[in-house]
Amino acid sequence: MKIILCLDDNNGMLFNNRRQSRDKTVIEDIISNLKNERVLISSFSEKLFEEFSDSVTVDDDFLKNASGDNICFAENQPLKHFENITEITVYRWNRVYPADFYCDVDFSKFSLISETEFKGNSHDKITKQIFIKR
Amino acid sequence: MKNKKLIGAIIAIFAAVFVIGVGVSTGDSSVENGSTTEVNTSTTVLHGVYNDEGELITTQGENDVVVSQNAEKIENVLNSNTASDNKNQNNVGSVEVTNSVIDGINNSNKNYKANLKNIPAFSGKPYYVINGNVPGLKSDNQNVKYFEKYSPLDSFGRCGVAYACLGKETMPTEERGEIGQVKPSGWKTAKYNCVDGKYLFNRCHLIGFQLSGENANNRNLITGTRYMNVEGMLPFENMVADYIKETGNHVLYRVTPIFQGDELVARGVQMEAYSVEDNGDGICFNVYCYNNQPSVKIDYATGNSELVDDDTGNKTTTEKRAEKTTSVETSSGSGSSSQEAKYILNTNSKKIHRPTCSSAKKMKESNKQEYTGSKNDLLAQGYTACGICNP
Repeated sequence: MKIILCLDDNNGMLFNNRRQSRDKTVIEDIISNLKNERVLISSFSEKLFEEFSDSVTVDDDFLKNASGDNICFAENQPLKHFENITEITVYRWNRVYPADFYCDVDFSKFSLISETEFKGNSHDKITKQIFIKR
Repeated sequence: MKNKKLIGAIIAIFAAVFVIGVGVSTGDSSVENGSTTEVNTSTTVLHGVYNDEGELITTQGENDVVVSQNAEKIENVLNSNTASDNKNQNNVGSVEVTNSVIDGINNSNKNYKANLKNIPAFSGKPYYVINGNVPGLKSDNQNVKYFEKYSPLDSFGRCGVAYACLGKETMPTEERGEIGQVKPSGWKTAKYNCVDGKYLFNRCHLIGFQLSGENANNRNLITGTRYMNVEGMLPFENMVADYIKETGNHVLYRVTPIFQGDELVARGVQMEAYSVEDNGDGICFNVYCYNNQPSVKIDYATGNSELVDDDTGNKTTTEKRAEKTTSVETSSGSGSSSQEAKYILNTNSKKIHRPTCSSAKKMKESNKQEYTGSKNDLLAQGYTACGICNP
C-alpha cells in the first residue's frame, strides 16, 4: 500500500490528539494525483477531505484493510508494523510544531526518489517527498 | 449604553479602592486609557476572575492582584462576523475565561493554572502539559471578536498576563522592527557557545509577533532563554499562527509569565490556547514552558547565569565546562552537509546529533545508532538536525 503523511521538522504528526497543521493545497495535491483510485482515510481525517468526499473512502480500519496499491492518508496511526508499505509520500511543513505522536516509519528502509517544493495556502514552503521501499 | 458606562465607572472606582486596600501595587493605573471604560465592569476583584467580556480582572497569583487594562488594540475591536452587527450590545465580548466546564471536562478545581509546586524540575524537555492540555479558556458563542490585552508592569517592572483572541486581524501587516530598546525585568546580556546564536537571553514575546503584531510593547516582552523562545514557545506559536492562516478562525490565547516570589526573571510561561469557532477542535492546549537553557544555570532573582555541566542546569564542573566549550567551538568548524562525518542518530525521534551532544549521551541505547556519512543523506531519509548541537 501507499502511505501519505504530513510531518513537521521532527517527524511529528499530532499534539493533544489534534493534527499539527493542515493546508488545503496538500489535499488538493493529493486529489489531483489520483488516477482512478480513492484515498482511504479514517474518520479523523474526514473534515480535511469534505470537499472531495467522492474521492475518499472512510474506514477506521483502513490500514488493516488496505492492499495492493491502495492509497492511505494516515494521521494518527502507528505504521511500523505494516510490512506491505511500498511507497510513502511525505508532505513536510518545514516548521516545528509541538508533538506527542510521531511518525514511526524507519525511513532507512526506503529510498527517496522525488522531492519537490510548493507554496501552500498557509505555509510558505511545503516539501513533498516520495520514498519507495528499498 | 451611557448608563452602563456610568455603572462601569462606579464599579471601577470601587475595584480600584479594593486593590489599594489590599496593599498590592498595580503598577500602571487600569484607567489611564480612555478606552478602558468597559474593562472594569466586574463587580468584584477576586482571584482569577474575568468579567462578562472576557476581561481579565486579576492575575493568577494568590496575592498578586493586578487590574488589567486594555491595550491600544482593544479600541479596534471589531466583530469578525458581519451578521452579528445586529447582535445585542450587552453581549459584547463573546469570549470568556471560565472556571467551569470545557469540552465536558470539569475544570472547576482550577487545575488549569500553572503552579510551580506541581511542575517537575526541568529535565531537558522544553514544556510540561498542564491539566491534560485543557486550558482555562472557553468560547461561549460564535460571535467572535478579536482583542489583545497586556497587563501593566508590576512594581518590580515585571510583565503580567497577556490575553488575546487572535485572528488574522491581529497578525502583523509590517515587518518586525527593532526591540533592543526594551529591557525586560532581569535583563542581562550573556553569551555561551552552547547556546544557539550564543546569546542566552532573548527579549521574548509573550504573545508572539507573528500572532499579535506587537513588536516593542514592554508589557509583552520578558527575559527568556533562547531555548524557551525557540524550543518551547515557538512551536506552539507556529501551530496557532498556521491554524489561523489556514482556517480564518480565531483562537483564545493566554500567556502567563510565572515568577517565583520577587524574582525578576520568570521561571517559565504558561501558554493556553483554545480555538473559538470549532470549540477547541483545532487548537487546544495548556502547557508550561521552562525558562531554562540546557547547560546554563540561571539566577532567576537577578538574571545572572553561569555554565554548568548538565542539560538541566544543576551542577557545576570546571573540567566539563571547558570540555563543553571546546567541543562546541570545535564543532562549529565542521564540514559541509555533503561531507562525511560521524553522527549519532536517534532512530526513534529521527534526530541527528554530534557524538559530543549531551542529548546523544542521554539517549536510550535501543534508539541509538552510530553513523558515518553525509548529513544530506540523513536529511533525505527524513532525519532532522538536533537543535542543541546543531550538527
